[in-house]
Amino acid sequence: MLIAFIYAAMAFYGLSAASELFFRFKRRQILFVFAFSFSAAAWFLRWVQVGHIPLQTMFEIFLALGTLIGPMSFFCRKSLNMRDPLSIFADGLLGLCLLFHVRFIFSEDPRPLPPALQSWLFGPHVVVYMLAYVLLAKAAVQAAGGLSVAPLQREKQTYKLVCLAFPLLTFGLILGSVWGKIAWGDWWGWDPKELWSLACWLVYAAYFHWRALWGTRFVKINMWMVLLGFAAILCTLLWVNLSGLFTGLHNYAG
Amino acid sequence: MIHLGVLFVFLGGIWGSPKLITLCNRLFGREVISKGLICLPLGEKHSRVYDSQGKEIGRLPFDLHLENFDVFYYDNPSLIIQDKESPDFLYMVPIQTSGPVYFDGGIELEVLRQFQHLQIIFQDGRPVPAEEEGPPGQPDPGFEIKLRPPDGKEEYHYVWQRRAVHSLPKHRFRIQYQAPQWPRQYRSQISIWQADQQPIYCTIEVNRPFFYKGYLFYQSSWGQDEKGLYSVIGVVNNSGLTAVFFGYGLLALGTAGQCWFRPLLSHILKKKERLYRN
Repeated sequence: MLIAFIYAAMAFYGLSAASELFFRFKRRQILFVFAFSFSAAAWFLRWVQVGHIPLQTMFEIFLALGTLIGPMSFFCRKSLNMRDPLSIFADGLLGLCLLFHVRFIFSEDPRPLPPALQSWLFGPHVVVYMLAYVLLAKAAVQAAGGLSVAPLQREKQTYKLVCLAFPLLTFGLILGSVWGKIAWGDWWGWDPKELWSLACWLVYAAYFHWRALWGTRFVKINMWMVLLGFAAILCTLLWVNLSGLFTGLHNYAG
Repeated sequence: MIHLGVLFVFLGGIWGSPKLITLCNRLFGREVISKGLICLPLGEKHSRVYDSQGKEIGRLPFDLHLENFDVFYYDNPSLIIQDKESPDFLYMVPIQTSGPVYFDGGIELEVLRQFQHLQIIFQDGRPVPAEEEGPPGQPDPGFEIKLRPPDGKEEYHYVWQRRAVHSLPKHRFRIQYQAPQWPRQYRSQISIWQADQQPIYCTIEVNRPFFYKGYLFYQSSWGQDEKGLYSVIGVVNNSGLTAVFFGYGLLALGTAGQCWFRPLLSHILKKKERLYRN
């Protein structure tokens, strides 16, 4: 059942992306609603299956990210007025890519929650990071698009998205640090994941400083900084956990 | 506010750093421990703190006594059963004493008894299992297991939890104890003893530390040696923690204010201004 829901969500995300490229479907929001519903159903099924909030393994994280794409896309359309074809196409494609990884790349095997993860901070810490990552992925899409088409307009959209995500990134870092103090006695452990998370935060902090200094005078540099920040996020989310190069306190996620 | 928050975090970090605490200890002749580990065997009481290399780094002004230590698991202990005559016959079954378990080919397995300290003694020249009084704090638990193939030739096996598997040459099967693999929680019940004071009792688990007199005690690890179980309790000095958490508060408020509330307020004001003009 879970796998069937994932396939259905992938199909609807794929359709929404394709509707922007090949055919203009007026009520394309309905595709996102279906994609979100199936993905959320799969995530809740997983919750029932493992008996704890499913945010532990990469399978569960990517499933949750895929679920978040739908509501975040809706929120950005309504609140930030992001209705351009690139944004909607990218949302569909992103949802499809995330769920493709869930289905075909990551192991589905459930794992019991180790003692260190049994904390009330587990859910909030991971959820704020995931919200931030989805928004920053959308910001990176806008920044990449702005390098060639409508740079000023896209730069403003990018800035709004980074503004939305940056406090979430900060909360994630703080919650993780408080949790580290409670679980391991240290609020900072020089763990590879912690260091990469801090690197992400610093790149976006540098972006804000740069933009406060120069505004939209050097639009392309602004865009490249956002793309650099997203590259750091990819390292934090994927490389640190999957490369096997880093050993640390976050190994259970790999 | 954001920059002030970062500054507080930095200052708190420096104030609580082991190097500064060591320097202050030297300058003011005090004995404050910045960070270390206390290894507490079951039933023992002491105040010695060690570093991660096992070198003693100081003593706490009070003693810690490990009253009890428990490890909880998600899974149950199991038995691995192999047939020496047929390599394909390999099963793992959770240990249960409620009745026999049946395998392919009609093979029956039954855990007859569980012992806290299993010893094999000789009665009338025959080896029999017995529950013996072992050295205090060093139990040697084990099981008596009966295996019966369809041909009816019963085998009695004795399996110890903490000893290497052995199998008599005349036995067709080989049975091995498999400890549970997925820990759920570690729990140390501690009492704190200080001269002329009543002891303080507390329970320390992973993610449930205990704060006492400027120190945080957390469940770091555990182990077992020839003397029995021991719990490793982490000790961390909380110097500078208030500044760090105050800095975090400023950071959180600052980023939310700057990135969320300020643009929202300016948007609302602009909207009102437009309405007013119209």
